[in-house]
Amino acid sequence: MKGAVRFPGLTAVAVISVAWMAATASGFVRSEFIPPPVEVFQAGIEDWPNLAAAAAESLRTALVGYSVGFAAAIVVGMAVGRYASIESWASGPLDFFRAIPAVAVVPLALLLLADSFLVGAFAVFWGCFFLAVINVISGVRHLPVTLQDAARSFGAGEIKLLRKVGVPSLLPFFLSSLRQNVSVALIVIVVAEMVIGLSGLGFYILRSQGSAQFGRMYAAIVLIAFVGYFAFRVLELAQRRLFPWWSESAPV
Amino acid sequence: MTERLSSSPAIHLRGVTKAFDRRGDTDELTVMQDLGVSFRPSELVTIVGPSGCGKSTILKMINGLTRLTAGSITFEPATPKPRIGFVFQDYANALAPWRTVQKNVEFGLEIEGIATRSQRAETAKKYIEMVGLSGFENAYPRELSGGMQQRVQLARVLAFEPNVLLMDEPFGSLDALIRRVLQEEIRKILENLHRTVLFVTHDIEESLYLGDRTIVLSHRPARVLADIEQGSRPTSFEEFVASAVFRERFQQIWKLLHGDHR
Repeated sequence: MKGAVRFPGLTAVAVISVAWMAATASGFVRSEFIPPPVEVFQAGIEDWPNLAAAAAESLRTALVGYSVGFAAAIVVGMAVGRYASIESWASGPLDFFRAIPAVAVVPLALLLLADSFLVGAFAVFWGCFFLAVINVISGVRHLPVTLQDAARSFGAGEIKLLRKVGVPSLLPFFLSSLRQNVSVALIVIVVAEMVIGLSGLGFYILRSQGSAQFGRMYAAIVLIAFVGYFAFRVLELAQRRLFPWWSESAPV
Repeated sequence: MTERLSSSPAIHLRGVTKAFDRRGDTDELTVMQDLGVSFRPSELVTIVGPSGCGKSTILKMINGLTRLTAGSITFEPATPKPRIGFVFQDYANALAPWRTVQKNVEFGLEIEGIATRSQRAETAKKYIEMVGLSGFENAYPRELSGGMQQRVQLARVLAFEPNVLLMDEPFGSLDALIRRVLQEEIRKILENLHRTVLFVTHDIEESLYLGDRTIVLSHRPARVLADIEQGSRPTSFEEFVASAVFRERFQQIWKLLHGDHR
């Protein structure tokens, strides 16, 4: 297409940055609360050791909760989705606990676990598990019936059915669920750290705001955005590379 | 391997009854009541009947995808256990979207798990060529037309080298032109294989053209309305459909199905 923008995503980010600069430079917004991008960048560089340490702490915690939550969701989801007897027992508790927001379990977890890393990881686990388990269950329910019949007609038992039909048709599904869970993990870890108030990016943001170091506060926020963006892109790329046959719109 | 292929079993259905539970309904839906019919070794039998009469159910019971409510299905000889290949009408969902054509054709052999990787690849290649898909080995199903996808499914089932072939309206979802082409090809392929083939269709013309024998089933509960021995195989489609024999049989079946439906 003629006149099409080459990198619309990057361009949009650039436009937003310029608008931000213009808004602060023109005095349209009070610059002590919303410093211009350059100041945010400087603040981030200045306090980089602390910022990086906080980010590393958050990422480590989030990654553990996210991975464990997802692994548990695969096991539980496959069992619940496949076997009616398990479902009849599990669906009630799943629906009940799912309704509890991840952040709401933080105070209780603090009492029981008394360790900021464990509490953060537990909150992320909670958020990711319940979202992913629903995805996995619906993925298992929509396993291709005819293909399962075909596998059975070639003599496949339950194990082979799972290996040759179940897992391969669910893998890309898992990956897109992993992608959705990136934002959930980030939201939960930041809020959890704000509640726990000890370490990590959430705490860093809160502390910077409290001490009126708004540059640092924004630097942390922008850093989170970048982390989310890259995690998202990497998973998207992995999905396209690993499962070239997969298209989001195709029936599973 | 040729040893195994040369022997195809006869199949006997005796007193076969099939009833489905209907949810929220007290009575059952009986699609088949005391059905008895035999298929001879290496015979290509087409089964034609109104939709919902249980044609597909017969095939699914023969290969164990569906259980019988009563009666028995036996193979003669009973040992070795017959290798049964099943071709589904719904080709798009019968193939694995994550497998290339080559890997889809290897699917059955892979599940069986006897042949080595290179044997599988070789066998698959042979049947991919047989169905005219050479050059498409690395394509994914979604990149292929419906007719080509059904060819993949045929190759997959042939690569399994079954001695009983169950085909459930294999060309039912294809357009008329492609259907004609595939009818010709499947005739040629099956002529050389000498397997026991049950071919379900709702297309009277197709049933007469392809079958050594055509069985006409009634509306449910299914019973045999006619069992037509076709005699010699027609040489060309055009001549066959223009022949008096064809017209007579066509009208016979048409009347049976039409009369039965009312």
